[in-house]
Amino acid sequence: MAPLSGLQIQKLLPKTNCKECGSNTCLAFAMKLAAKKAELSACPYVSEEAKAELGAAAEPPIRTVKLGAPNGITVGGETVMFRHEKTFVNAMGLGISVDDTLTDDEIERRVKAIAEYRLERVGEELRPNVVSVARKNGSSARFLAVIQRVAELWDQVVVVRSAEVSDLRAAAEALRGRRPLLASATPDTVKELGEIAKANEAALAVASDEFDELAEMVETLRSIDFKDILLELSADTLCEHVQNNTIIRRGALKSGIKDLGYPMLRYIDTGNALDDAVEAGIEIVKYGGVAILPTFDPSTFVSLLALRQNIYTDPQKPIQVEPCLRGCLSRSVKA
Amino acid sequence: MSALFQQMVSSVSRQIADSIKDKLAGELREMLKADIQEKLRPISSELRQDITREVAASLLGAINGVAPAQTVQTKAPIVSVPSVPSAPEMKAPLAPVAHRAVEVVTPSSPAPKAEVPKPPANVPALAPAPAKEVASKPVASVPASTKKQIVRSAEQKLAAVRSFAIPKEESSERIQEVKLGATREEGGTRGRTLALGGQNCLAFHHFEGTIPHPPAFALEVFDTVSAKLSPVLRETWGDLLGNPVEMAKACVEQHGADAISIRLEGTHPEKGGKSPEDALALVRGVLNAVDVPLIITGHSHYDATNEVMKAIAAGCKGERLLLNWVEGDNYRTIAGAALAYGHCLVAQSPIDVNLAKQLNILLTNMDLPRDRIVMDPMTGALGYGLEYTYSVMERIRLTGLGGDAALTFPMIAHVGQEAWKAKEGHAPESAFPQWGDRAKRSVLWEIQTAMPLVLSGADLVVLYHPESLAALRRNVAKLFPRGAERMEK
Repeated sequence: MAPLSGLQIQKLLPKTNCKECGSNTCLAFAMKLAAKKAELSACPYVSEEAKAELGAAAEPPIRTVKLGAPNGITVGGETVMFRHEKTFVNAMGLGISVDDTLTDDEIERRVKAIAEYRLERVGEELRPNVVSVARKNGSSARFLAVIQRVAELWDQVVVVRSAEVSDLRAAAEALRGRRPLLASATPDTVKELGEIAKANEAALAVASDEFDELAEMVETLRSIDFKDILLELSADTLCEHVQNNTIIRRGALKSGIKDLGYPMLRYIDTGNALDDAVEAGIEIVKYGGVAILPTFDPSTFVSLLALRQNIYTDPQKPIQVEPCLRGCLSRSVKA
Repeated sequence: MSALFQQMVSSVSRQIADSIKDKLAGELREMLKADIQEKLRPISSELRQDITREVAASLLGAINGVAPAQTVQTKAPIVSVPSVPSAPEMKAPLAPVAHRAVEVVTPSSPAPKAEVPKPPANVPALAPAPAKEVASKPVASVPASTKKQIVRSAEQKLAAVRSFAIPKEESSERIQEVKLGATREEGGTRGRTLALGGQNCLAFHHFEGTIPHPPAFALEVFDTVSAKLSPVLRETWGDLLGNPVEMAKACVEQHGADAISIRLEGTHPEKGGKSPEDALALVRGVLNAVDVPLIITGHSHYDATNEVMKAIAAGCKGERLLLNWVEGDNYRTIAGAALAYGHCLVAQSPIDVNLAKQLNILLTNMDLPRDRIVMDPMTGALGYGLEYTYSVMERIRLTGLGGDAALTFPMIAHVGQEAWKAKEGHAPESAFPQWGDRAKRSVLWEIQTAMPLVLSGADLVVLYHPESLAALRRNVAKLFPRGAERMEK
């Protein structure tokens, strides 16, 4: 379907300029829709005919998924292959993983280290965004206790990772209101987990090592009208990962393949801290959505956060630093 | 009357002819059937020994679902293969047929998309999988669970995707191949040469193009060590820093550098004012010490650098050095020397696609052959303008592959020089606790500057730290389907 222009879309809107969508006028909202920067669902008064007519045209090619609440990040929503074409918009989520085999003290130490980490660069405060909690071999009760402890220490995105549907159900219920990410659905569990995620306002990752299986799972979730999906496509080699990321981004943007129009999730663990850092850097540059490292180390994160800031800088408006002495940033934030 | 009679005769004779035809066809069919059964019997008894009945049955499922059309076409058109087993051993003789039929589908043809109907649910989804398992070794386990065990290449996996067409973008252009260094037969003294470029796709897009040469990594040695050099580098290289010839040897022999860059900052009139003869002597020393190609890196004082480059170009005639660099305001002298004495050239432009193109045109207009030009769109370090270099390299590469031959040259990135200037390469952890351990952080600063530039199109990266080189080399190898095969002899 040919993309509709802003004016064509405006004709289908209520034209009441009620501002409830966040835009000042219906025309402004229509322009945003045309630029794929807003979603039709933001308009509370849109008619059923308009929904049907706009349909796919109103949906951005890559879904914008909000993770974490009240503090969190937005991933996906990208509209270009290369940053010089316009800009990359939603910076990749970056974080670490803990699991239930660690002692309580160790979990606390690791989560506090990442929770307290702040980096100031070019007038921006940068920080990691994600802590993933994996169930390895403890009991379900222990897993849930770890999740609750992490959620107390950490105000950003929590990912809960288990192969058991019951674990993810309990975690989703316990973290209701925090918009956690449930990881990861397989073809057998996707339907049930989709319902759980939908009921508890969580996001859900679907995992496979095959495009076809991934697409089928996405279809299943779309059929129950659940769209806060992340794609976790595993691969045997780094070479394959990079190719797959490119294929997913290009498929969604250029070929309009709906099943690929979601941000990606990647767990990195090569067994070598330096190589982990390199792979995370590649994810930042080449289309990653959320990347999770095994451990936290400031020397790694300072370079990754700087890289992320560089790559996601809008080339249309270069960074501008307020011309004043050190310390004015905090003042201006207060003011 | 006679006409009617004639009609009767002809119709009777047609009937007779038809019945004979039918009979013959029937006989032929029986003969063929018998013949095929005869030929299948020994195979089937062989197979019965190592293939279980379940496997045979599931393969039968596969062939019925997947490939009847192809089977019939490839073998005997008259006999329909699935009808063969009228013999008492119903299941066993089917195995070989199924085996062969699946093989017909196997060849890694990217075809099986639209024509192939979905196989039954109990059979592994991908046709090639069961055949591979059967062919390679006697089947011990039940195929239903084999899917995860089979390691397939990225290429095979992509070929098997059915839910959408893999979006490929094929390029009409190839990046110019540039060879640095010349062997004895070619008029130089190098033991090995270094080829750059030659690809027809973006970095690591193996699914839509070919990349003959992986990105190369050079290390740099100095005629004068800057007082501002990072303490981390001083510690790593120690006394070698003051001895560029020995340092070059270590770079190649211990750290595996693909090329050596000699930075001749000392020939700058304000930074030592060494003579062109001193510089030439150093270059000769390094040429004798190592067998890899050399990059001769000058500075921004035009008059001095021109004299130095002229002397070195003439003194190392035929070595195919990479003279680094010329720019829009100062290119004639050095380009002339490269042309006269058989060297390559770095064309530097200030982070700008159009200026880069303009300089390339100026150089080719001087009759400098295309296979002697390497572009340098200038490097910004991580956190200090990396994104500008990143995007300009990406734009140059995309424009080149899109058909603009004035931009299809390999690119060089001076990562070490820029990354180690950054504050992150110097400041101790005590001053910036958020930056972590200085040694680790500064090496990562170099790596995280280099890798994005390699991803955006850099073909040759000049580094300062051996650990960065090792990490980048290791990861670039992982970005090739069969690991990078370095350095054609």
